[in-house]
Amino acid sequence: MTKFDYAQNPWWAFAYEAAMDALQDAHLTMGDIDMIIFSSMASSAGGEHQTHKASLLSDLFKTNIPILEIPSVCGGGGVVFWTALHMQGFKNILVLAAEHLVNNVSEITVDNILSAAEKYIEQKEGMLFPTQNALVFQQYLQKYQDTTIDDLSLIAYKNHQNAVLNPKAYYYKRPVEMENIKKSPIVASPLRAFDCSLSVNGGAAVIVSQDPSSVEVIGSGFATDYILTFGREDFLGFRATRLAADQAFSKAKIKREDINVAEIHDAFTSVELLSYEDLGFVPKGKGAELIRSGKINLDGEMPVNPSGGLKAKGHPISATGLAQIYEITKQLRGECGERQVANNPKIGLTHNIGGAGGTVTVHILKKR
Amino acid sequence: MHSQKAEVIGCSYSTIPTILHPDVPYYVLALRDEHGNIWPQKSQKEYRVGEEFVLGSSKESDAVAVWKNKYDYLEQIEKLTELLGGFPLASEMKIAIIPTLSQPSHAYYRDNTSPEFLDALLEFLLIKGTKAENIKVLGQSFDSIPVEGKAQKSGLVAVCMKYKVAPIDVAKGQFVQSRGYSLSKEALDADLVIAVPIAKAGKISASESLLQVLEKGESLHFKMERDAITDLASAFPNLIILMDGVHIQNRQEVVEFLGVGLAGRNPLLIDKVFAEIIKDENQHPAIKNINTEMIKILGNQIKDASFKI
Repeated sequence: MTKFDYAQNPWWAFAYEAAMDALQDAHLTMGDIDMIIFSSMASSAGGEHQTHKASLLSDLFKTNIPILEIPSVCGGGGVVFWTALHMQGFKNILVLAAEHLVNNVSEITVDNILSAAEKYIEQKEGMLFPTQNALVFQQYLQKYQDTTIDDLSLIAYKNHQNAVLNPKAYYYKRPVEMENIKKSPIVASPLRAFDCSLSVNGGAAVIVSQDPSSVEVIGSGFATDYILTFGREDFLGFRATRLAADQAFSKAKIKREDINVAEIHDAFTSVELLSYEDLGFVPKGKGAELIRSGKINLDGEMPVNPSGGLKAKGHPISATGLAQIYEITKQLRGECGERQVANNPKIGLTHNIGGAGGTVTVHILKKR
Repeated sequence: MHSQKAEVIGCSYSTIPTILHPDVPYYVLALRDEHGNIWPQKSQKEYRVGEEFVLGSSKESDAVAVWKNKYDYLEQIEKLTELLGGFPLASEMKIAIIPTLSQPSHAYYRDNTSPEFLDALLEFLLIKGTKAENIKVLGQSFDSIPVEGKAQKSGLVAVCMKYKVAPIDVAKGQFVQSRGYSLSKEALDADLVIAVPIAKAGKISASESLLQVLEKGESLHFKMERDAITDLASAFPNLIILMDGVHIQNRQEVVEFLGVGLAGRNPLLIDKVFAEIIKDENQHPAIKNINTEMIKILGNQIKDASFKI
């Protein structure tokens, strides 16, 4: 994968860099790849007009193999990975995602990201992603009164501490103090700036091969849902996460406590907290207890977001899901240097959300 | 399902400017009605959880209702009329509808009132018990193109036929005097006149819609000035204006999505509120000096609905 930051390269340059990194890691060349599955939402933004990306990738990699494009906004990376796992008749599939979404006008970047959500009922009433998550978390706080806004600060602090150790993260070697997190400006009350993930540019790639490798996928789940927040029966979580997690754990034939390390989709700190519950790591209403316990810190029993997560590594939309696979693979191989999870982790989980719970994938990876 | 009241169950203070909402800060409320439906609502005012949220309604002549459509045109018309305090509709009432009908162009150009808006209005009137035979849709042409051609191309005739409502070329009928204006007898004989102009940037569409039933000679020489428009509006005994602002023309006559409807009894005030919503910096002289603060705005406030066109 590329470093996640504000580099102003076109999306295909990020795609190329990430693909070459993955090929090198797998000791393969483009000639060994018999299919590419790609995800991005950025090519029509930032003046990059060509939306016929398959032909551009064909030219970029000098190949005529099938190239399938599947956009699924923030969940694109997870969806293309899931698709590659379910493809038959291909030996080595290059799974790729890249974005150049962030340029110098934040209003335009935000507007592009908002294409992932409902416009007429929610956005026109000012209910953009931060406000949506803020209103949901307000309801959560009313229902589970033991939880406080300080619990979200603990999540932000954990992820920032991890990112400081990750050379691919935007916040690498940029420590953030708890006081700064708690005093950061309100974006949509009660959420502050440090409760929101960081929109960045970048790319990530994974090769799904039929040949045995050091890490295998033992569980895979994919579920979709309606995205109108208050139109859902239970909006204090994402049903699609619960469904995708159940599918993945059922296929993997393991229990929640068997997971040693996880990358969870922390688009907002509140989403990470709610996801602890949706993924089944704790019962409903107990998410705060998990972050307070320290069990999911880098030195805990099951570290969550050792990469720094979307929060502090950065969130280049479609590339996020594949960056999670990259991180868990590296963790299971023991290649993460300073941020390496202790005790030789054997099983890891990734959780990637598109839109407000509209498309969710959960994958479980195991060290061979 | 209509809700009578809504309770505030959440209120978030938002500070990030976006293309959709450039003016910050603002609040977003989570509202819950007596049926358990929950929806977001932008607000310039802070509310506390548990407070009742009331949109309010008014029958005053200086009130302008604004509603961002959420589901369809019918919902928008229902909400706009509700905000105006409703109006009595009986089966025997004669109703004259005046759409904008200025060009022989397809509906997607939005030169004319959109067929969807007229369709929803007729559906609304029939639901309320009005008989189709008592409803007339009025228009006339001020150029060499027959009004029938404009009505046909715009799709409005098809809507009239769907509901078995008569489209009338008022130029072929009688005109009678009212407060010094020569107005179509079809309009003056109606118990209720509903003007349904389509909003256009840089125009005063609500005011101009009244000219559709003024005798051609007077219409062509009518000065679109504030006093004259006020005077003309007063010549209609029972006038309601429902303005289609969902898809509208910008100043270059390119269609953009705005997604609002406006309603009231004073065309100038409706035009003023519309100009403020689209942040028109070069407003028509007839509305330029109207003080927005003097207008009683119901439903969505200007800042809640504003979008630069």
